[in-house]
Amino acid sequence: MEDFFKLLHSVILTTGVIHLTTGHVVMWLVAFFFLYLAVKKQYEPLLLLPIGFGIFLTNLPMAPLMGKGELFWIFHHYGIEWEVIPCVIFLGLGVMTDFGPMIANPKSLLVGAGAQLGVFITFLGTILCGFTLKEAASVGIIGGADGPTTIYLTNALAPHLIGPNALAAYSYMSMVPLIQPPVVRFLTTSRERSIEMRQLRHVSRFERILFPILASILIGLIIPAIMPLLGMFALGNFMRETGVVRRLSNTAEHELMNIVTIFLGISVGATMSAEQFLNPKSLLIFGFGIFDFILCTAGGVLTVKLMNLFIREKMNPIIGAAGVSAVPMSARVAHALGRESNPRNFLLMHAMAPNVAGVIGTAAAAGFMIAMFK
Amino acid sequence: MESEVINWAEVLVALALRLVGVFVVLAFLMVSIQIAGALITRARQGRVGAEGGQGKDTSKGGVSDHASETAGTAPNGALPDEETAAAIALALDGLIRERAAASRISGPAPFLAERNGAWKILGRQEALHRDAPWKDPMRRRAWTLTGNREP
Repeated sequence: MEDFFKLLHSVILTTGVIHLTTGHVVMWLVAFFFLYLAVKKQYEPLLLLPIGFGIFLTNLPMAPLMGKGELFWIFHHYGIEWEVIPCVIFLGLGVMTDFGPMIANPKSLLVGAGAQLGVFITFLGTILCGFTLKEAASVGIIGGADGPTTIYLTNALAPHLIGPNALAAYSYMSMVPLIQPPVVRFLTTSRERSIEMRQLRHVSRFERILFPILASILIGLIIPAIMPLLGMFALGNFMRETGVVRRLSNTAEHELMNIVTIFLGISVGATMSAEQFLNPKSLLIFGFGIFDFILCTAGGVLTVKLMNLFIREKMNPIIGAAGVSAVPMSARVAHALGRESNPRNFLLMHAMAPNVAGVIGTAAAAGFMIAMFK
Repeated sequence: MESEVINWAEVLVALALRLVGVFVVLAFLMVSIQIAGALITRARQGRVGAEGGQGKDTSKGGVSDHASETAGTAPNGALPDEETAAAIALALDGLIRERAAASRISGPAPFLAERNGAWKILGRQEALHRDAPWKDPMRRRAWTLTGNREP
């Protein structure tokens, strides 16, 4: 009989039931919350769904998923730690991105730079709350609203924060329609929001082809640290604009992008074990994330207002909110806000300009952070 | 939480420099785009001028800028036969006028394009897909108001 109980005990020890902790259950709830956002609310489902499920699976006790050499560990190690996935995602983003509006209105690049204000202010705030310099840099970049860049920078400087940082970045990106309008309304008058902008000029194919090369030379020479990301971005865009490698650009835009998105989501979710996630730092990251996002939105709007003091043809300050790089969600929000103030306002393409400039701006800020702290 | 000795003055200066750096990089890019754009426009104008004034901008008639890009140049950079060019220009002009008269919206007109080494007047559908008025917020309203759908 005693042997039987010993056997039973050893069997129970191999099950997850006995190892289940409150932390695991809390993480399940966190996972279900993100699954709810993805499935029910359809907030960034392409990412929040695999991330949420990754969190759920990785918090099943005794499941051989995140130990060295196990499935999720392999995804994470070779995909994220080796910095492959964010760069491949940037290749796909490059193929998807139309730089036409930005080339037609190059001033929008300054708006993209102004929208990085929050990154630097949050950096200081997080240091005051006890984060290290590297951790602070990785948290600050959340406001740029660029998931792959956040993951890339965090992996380079503070890999232990990759879960909360990525989750905060993607969560806030999905909440752009909720977060940005009050900030824009607060910082602008109804008259400013009604400013109509002239139709953008036609951008020739040659200019579009030239842009990724020009951008690579300039950014590559000044901030080489960010070239793995921006280089792939430029390559994707070059493939798109030349149009001679349709098969490759289609693959990069669809199949490849979808495949790496699955691995990215699972890998990020898998880093969020109860032991790593349930601590005050994670909560602070979420708090700073929203603060950062608001500041970046404000930075973009205020940059446009400042530019309006010096330029003859006024820009609608709403498009400054699109300077964060949540493409194309923030441009759509800017367009909707513009229509709300003036039904004749069509700001979508104008907002796309700072929107894609924001991608470059956030990557530039990340490059400087890496160069500074790595 | 971990703590490290932070030289605040150093950090603040470094951060300020980085923020300025972001602006400088993007401003450089902005200026480069503007210079490149100006040079391209100038080169194109020069080329069109050198080719005897063909390929003048007909965008006022609601035609895509592609027309001005392609009308004056033959495949592989060679000038088309003068008579053929004149006939094509005449036909194109007629089509543009017809198109402009038929429609109140500033949609695309058929335009001339080089295709597989031969000159071709593109049809409405193809012209539309090149010109894509639904992508242009200013023209999309007119486009949709006239009963068209975005593809």
